Parts: sequence; C-alpha cells; structure tokens
Amino acid sequence: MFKFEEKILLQQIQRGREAAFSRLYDAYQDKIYRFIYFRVSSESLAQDLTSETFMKVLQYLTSGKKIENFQSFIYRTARNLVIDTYRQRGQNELPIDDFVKDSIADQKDVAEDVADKFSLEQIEGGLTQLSGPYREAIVLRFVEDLPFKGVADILGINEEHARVLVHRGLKMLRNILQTKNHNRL
Amino acid sequence: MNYTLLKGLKNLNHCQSDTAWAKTNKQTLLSYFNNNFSINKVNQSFGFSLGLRPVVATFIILGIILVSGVGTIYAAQNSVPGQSLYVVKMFTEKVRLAMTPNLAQRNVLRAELLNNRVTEARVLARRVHEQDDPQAGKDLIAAVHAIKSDIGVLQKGISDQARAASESDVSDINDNTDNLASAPVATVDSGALPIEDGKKAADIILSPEVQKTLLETQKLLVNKDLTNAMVKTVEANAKLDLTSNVTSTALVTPSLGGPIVPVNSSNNTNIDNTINNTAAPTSPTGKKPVDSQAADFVAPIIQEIPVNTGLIQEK
Repeated sequence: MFKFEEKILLQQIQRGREAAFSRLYDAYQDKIYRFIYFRVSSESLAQDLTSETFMKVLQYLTSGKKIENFQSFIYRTARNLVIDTYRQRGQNELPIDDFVKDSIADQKDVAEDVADKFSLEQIEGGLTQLSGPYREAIVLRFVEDLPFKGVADILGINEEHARVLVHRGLKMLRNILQTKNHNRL
Repeated sequence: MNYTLLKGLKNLNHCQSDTAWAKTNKQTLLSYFNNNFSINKVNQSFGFSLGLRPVVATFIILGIILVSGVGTIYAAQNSVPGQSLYVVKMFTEKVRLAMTPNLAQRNVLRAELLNNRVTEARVLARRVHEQDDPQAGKDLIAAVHAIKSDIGVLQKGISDQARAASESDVSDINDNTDNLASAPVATVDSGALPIEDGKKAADIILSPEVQKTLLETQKLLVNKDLTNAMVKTVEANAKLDLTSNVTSTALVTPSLGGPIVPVNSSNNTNIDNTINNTAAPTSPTGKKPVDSQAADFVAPIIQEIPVNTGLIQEK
C-alpha cells in the first residue's frame, strides 16, 4: 500500500468511514501479527497483542490526532506493546546499543555467503533464539521485505544502525542454524 | 523442503493468523470504530470543506489583497500632490515605466504622465484661486518644478531615442536627428524656488497652453516625430518658466543654457529671425560656444525643413 493511499484512508477514517478502516486492517493485520508472533513465539499472545495494537491505533485516531507515517506508527505501537508485555513478565529486553556499539566494519553482505539449506521450522526456531532487536530487524527486512529506511523508522533508529542490526542478526542466525545442524549430525 | 536462509526467511511471510480469529477481531474493532466515530459521521458532509479550509482561506485572503490593492490603485489615480494616496499613484507610474522596455514607448508614456502632472497641477491651481490656500500654493510651485524636471527627463529620453535610431541605421541618419541625438539635455534648476507666488504659478498652469503643448508632444512621440516633439518640450518648458515675465509665449533652450528668446510661437518667421540673430560667434578654437549650438540645433527644426527619413515624418 502506498503512503499517499494510507493518508487518504486515514483521513476517511477520521471522517467516520468504516470501509477505510476495514481496508487498513486487512492490509496490516497479518503483518502485525507476524511481527508480534516472531517476537513472542506464542500464537494466542500474538493475537491478543495484534488486537490491542489496532485498538490503540483506533483510540489514537478517535482523539483526533493525525498520523504521518501509518506503517511506522502501527509497527512501533506493536513493538511497544511487546516490550511492555516483557516488562510485565519480568523478562528484560536487551537494549540495542549493547549489541551495536562496535564499529560497523566488516559489512559485507552475509546473506550472499549463506548457502546452507534449512527447513522453515529450523529458521523459525533459530529466529526465536535471536535477541529482540535483531529478531525484529530480520523479520522486518526479510520477512516483511521492508527497506532499511522502513526498518529504521519502526525501530526508532537511524538507517545505518538498522543495517548493522540486520547484518549481525543474519550472521548470528546462520551460526545458530549451523550449530544446530552440526549437533544433529 | 530445504531453503537457503534468505529464501527461508522470505517464506516465513506465508505465516498468517487464524482466519476465524482475524474475522472476529475485525468485527470487534469495527463495532468499536462505529461507536466512537459516530460524532464524526454526523459532520461527514462538512468533512471535505473542512479539509479544504486552509486552501479556501488562502484564496479568500489573496482575493481580499487583490481587490483592496486594485481598489487602492484605482482610488489613487485621482489623487493630487499632498494626498496620502499620491505615493501609490507615483509608485504605479514608476512600475509602468519600468515595465516598458521599448525606448519609444517609454517616451510616449513619459509624455502621458507629464500630462497627468499638469492635470494635477491644474487641480492645485484652482484651489489656490478659489480657496486662497497657502499650502496649495506651495504644493503648486513644487508641482510646476516637478513638471519641468519631468520635461528634462523626457528630453533626455527623446535624445536617447534619436541616438539609438541613428546608431541602428546609419543610412537613414538625418542631420536634424544627428543634432537631436547629440543635443545636451535640459537640466532643471533644482535650487531654491525663484518665486513664491503661487497665484502666478496658478495662472500659468490654468492657461490651456501648457497642457495643449504637452498633448501635442505626446501625439508627435506616438508618430515618432522626434524633432518636433523635442521642440514642443522646449516650448512647454518655456511656458512653465516662473521667473520670466512672459508667461505663455517664450522659447527657451534650457538644455543648452542659452538665453531666453521671447517669440511668438505662432509666427515661425519671427522665430527664425530671432534665432538667426542670436547666433554666437565661433570661438578661436573653431568650436562653437554652447549658445551657438543651441541656435544651430533649434533653427533648422523651426524652419521645418522637410525630411524624408523613417524617423522624422515627411511633411
């Protein structure tokens, strides 16, 4: 969905047009669900948080506030809900900066080197072992096929930072999967 | 089925939520939506106009500025010196002059504006006579000097136009035009006012001669008869001379610093004789003094030597 299309839909939503909200819901429901699911690894929790995400967006729109970038807004809302959930459960999130304070040297595209074969279950399992920020970056970049700029907007970081997260996350994921394969053999 | 890492990640895109849950969730959200946006629905018909509010407001403001601006300019057209809108009138005239790139058209416009100045001065002159207003008298004298200054500017413009014409086509150069192009331009004394008698200035301005001469100048400029137009400006300048006892019939060449030559403008023979008699002797260096140049310049014009160039009308 193009950004200008989203802006029109948002205007229509604020004028009370149900069909406009329905379209936005259909466009984002699965994306948000997946984004949350790969973070919480629980179908029911992902459903709850997805529903809550849309409700928060609706409440925000009801208050008459305007949303400039809907995609970024809804992903961030979902992300904040996931973080809140973790906090409530006493599980600490690893801050992004702890992982990315090194230099961003060695930025060759790891994806090109990955030639190993994995099953979908293995990849999904490996993904759940990544820490939060890396997992989010990988899901947004490769599962949702968002550009680095989009990933950066959602995660609230700059584009270079997003590239580092994706690069390192991919490297970690490959190591996790290779280790699993090696142990299995 | 095995995947490479990136392909596998991309295929995770097929992971979807439960359809039944998605449907129920959507219904719940839509009912919340309908409950909370009902107020907006009432005003739905105004939504479009509200969305366009800044645009409409901008157009309204622009409209007001345009209408008030045009109204002010229109109202200023009838203003005279001393009135607040006179500044606007002067500004619009300056803009008109600046927007006229062609030298000939600019001179025609200058002549038209000169006529406007005389019309304004006539309004002030009537006030001097009818109301005996000393301020109007001062304004009038200032207006007369402004007119004389404008005549000087017009003379320079005519001179420039003649020079440009002679440079653009050498084969068509006429002697008279040459004189005109090289003629020094009238300079108006901008010092202290020679007289403070507003009534005398009013008499000069209220006589129809000045305006008639300037209207003729304008017509001659339209017809590109530069020589005769220049003569008319000299005549008009003479008629506006506040220092002279001769109020309506005096021919001067202020541009050349020459003497005032009292003449009857309706009698060309007298003019010819007068001018020929005023010719100054040649200087030892062979160059003629300025007074002599003035006579040389004006004499052939007055004699109305028929010319047959594209610049000067054939008589």
